[in-house]
Amino acid sequence: MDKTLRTAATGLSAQQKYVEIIANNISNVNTTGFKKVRPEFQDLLYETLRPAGAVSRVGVEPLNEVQIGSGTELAATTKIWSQGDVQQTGNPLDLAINGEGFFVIRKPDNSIAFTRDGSFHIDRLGQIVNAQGYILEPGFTIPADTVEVQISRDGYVEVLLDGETEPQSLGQIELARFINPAGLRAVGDNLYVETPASGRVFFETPGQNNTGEILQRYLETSNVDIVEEMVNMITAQRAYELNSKSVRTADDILGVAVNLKR
Amino acid sequence: MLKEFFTAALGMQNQQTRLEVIANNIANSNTVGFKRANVFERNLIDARANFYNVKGDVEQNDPAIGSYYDFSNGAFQKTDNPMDLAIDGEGFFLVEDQEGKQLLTRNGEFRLSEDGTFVRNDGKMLIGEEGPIKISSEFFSNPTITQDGKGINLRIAQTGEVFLNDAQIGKIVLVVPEDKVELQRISNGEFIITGISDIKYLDFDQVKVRQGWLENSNVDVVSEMVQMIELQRMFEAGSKVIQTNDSTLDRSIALGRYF
Repeated sequence: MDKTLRTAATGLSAQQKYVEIIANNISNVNTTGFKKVRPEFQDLLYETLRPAGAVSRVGVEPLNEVQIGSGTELAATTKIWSQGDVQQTGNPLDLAINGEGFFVIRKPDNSIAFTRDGSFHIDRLGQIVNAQGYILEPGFTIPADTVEVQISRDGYVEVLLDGETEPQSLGQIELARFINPAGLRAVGDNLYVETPASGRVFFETPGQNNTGEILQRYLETSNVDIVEEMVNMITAQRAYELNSKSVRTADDILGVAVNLKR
Repeated sequence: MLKEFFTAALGMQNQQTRLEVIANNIANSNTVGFKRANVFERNLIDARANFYNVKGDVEQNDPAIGSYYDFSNGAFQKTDNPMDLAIDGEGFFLVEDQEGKQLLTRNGEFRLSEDGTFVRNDGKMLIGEEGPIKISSEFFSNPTITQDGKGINLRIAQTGEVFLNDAQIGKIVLVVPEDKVELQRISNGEFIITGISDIKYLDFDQVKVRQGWLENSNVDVVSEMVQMIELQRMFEAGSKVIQTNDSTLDRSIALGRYF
């Protein structure tokens, strides 16, 4: 009898985690370059009351097995790497990637991280940096007398200096690619690092081989779809209620059994 | 007189087992590829013969109920993940663990392992016509060398062929056991073949693999709730039989006092 209660408890706890994941997706609906996360549930061990194909003592025909499962658990979470919408911002250092590539960021400890968040700034030294102040590789220094920064779709950074008519090239942004972006590890601040599961990083020119073009004055919004998240939330909430009915029924039945003896 | 007690108790025990099975179905209403189980009560004569256990030996392995899996399709849900696969039709994916044991599953939430193999979340490998489906390790560890200008593109055809940049790297097989009765469920949405059945490879004329889709649990909320109400009432009815018998017995005993 208390097996039902424990089974239902695993269901309750799994659905609660589902809601937590949905809540995190929804709270990041306006986070630039955020990728939604999906839970993966799996069923737990089965107690086999009678193995499949066993022959009943009284009958002769083989019988179906009788198995009682012990509930569910959250087995894994998966990041969904679909493209988010691109939104025009007008800021010349807002960049969006329309494809599968990543910006390459050099952290102060000289390690490399990857991001889809293309909201860059110019720091005190004139370098192009992200929101945390980490440098966009391979490193660009914008001269102080720049009137306009132009970044082409294939990643060339050009500046127009005060009093000049021809723009001056500062170099080209390279984008990183992975065979399996789902294997990247999120380290916070919208940054990801390479792992054995992601495969080795390789670099490509923007616009080549599905890497995606760089769109200046645009940002990639989160790929969280509010309607989908709401539907998931309803599903999770109803599943939670349903599991609570299992608890209730088990409790009622237990009450009846206890009251058998007057 | 005491017979009725046992008959009623037997019925009540069956309802308990039903509730346990339903609770597991409900707990897995959001588990991808989950197949609901259902319990039915067996012929009462068989059941009673077992319960009384005429031969006097312990016989725990033969309860008064039977069960079956409902292998009907769950609803298909579009995901945006190219590693998600759903089977449109009957059949199972064939997966293999590290020891080479083969298992069957309908859960198509695959991912790439550290060496480029298609695996489940617990590391079991997806098996194709020529062994595990895998991106060659040279390409996975140094993707630029064979880069042919088409980009990295994993595409899985409805007929099971897996393409990496238009080069076929494997073909997924879909299987069924010759006899579905011999499927035994273990955890994580996997089934194992217990009997002597061979694996039968399915023809892709009738089934399709759909990339970017998942098959949801086929647990049906309404039928689980209805069954739960039904079993609760049957449990209560059983308890009334016992109580009525008890009071009848009580009166019979009381009757004896007058003589």
